[in-house]
Amino acid sequence: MTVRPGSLREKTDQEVVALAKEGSEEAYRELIRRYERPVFSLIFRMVRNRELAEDLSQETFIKVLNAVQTYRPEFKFSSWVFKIANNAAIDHLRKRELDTLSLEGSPHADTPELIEATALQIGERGESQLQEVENRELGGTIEQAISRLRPEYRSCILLRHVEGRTYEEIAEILNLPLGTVKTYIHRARNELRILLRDVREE
Amino acid sequence: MTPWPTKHLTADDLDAFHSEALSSEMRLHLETCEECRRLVLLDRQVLDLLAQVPSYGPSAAFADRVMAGVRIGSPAPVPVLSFPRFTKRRIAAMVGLAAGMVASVGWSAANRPLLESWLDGSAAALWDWGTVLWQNGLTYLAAQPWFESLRSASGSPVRLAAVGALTIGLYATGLLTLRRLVTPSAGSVSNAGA
Repeated sequence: MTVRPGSLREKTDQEVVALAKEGSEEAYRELIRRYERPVFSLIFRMVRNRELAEDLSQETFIKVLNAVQTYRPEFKFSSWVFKIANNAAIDHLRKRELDTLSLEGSPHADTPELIEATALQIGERGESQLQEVENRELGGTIEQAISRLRPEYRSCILLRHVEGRTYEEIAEILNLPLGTVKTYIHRARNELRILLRDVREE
Repeated sequence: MTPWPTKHLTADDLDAFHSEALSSEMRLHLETCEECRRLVLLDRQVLDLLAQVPSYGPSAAFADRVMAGVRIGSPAPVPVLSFPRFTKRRIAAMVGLAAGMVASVGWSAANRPLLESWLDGSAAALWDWGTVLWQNGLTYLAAQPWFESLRSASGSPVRLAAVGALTIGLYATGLLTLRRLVTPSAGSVSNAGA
């Protein structure tokens, strides 16, 4: 089935997915064109390595497009794509056991001792030369500050304030209760305010 | 004179402020609270910085690499009633099956007494084997050392009823356990493959 690529640009995601289900290669390519930058940006900021981000993005799209026949149109296509992308990034971070500590301690810490034990002390976290290079590549104090957030907060803040997703969509993408998403985003903003103030004062 | 509110801005108030939907009460508070004004300013700066972060793109051949790993599916099958296509092999199989059935019925009709004698003989043999098995089984059970104590325990109707109830209870518990084991969890799946 052949569809003019130009005519696909005005179509909604659901319409393009419907064409992809009918076997249109152009529709598959249109879905990649629409989401390659946001998906790659999200994963790149999560894993902070270009090659790895490219591999994980590729894995995400192959997974999504190979399952397009089973896609249920009652859900937003973008939420589905971001969900798989975020899962790919988080799975990788878990495998690498890269656990960024929070300024406010773990969100699951109940006692003052636990909060203190899981809290990040600025300047304590020695960055390797590789991480410094990665930070330079991402560039800017805000990127550095984002990279210091714990992965859950990072996903939330990127989806909300960089990708412009609503709280409800983020809750669906991350499989979290709406209240938790709001808490994570406000804690992340709180940490960013502190991190940016410290960076400016340095 | 109405006292000015002293409650500081919450996270929701911050969101409301950025979307220009802050309540008049909190707007009043903001006019007087240096701490909250500073918070709002810093939060605004963070949001402005976040809005400016660039978007990154993968390398130029990314789409081609993805497409190399994608199986472009045929349209999803539409569930309609349809007859299978008649190929030569299918027709031959159907004719063979029909011929076999006709031949079987014809032979049975022609040799009815012989068929009946075979069936009667088989049924009698099965009955004999069953009876012998049943008798041997009962004899074996009665010869067991625990049989006598079991018989005396269930000697009265009350005891028999208690044993029956216990057996049924055990059986029902077993069934429920098995059902729990074989029932898949009913977690919500928001979308395919996600």
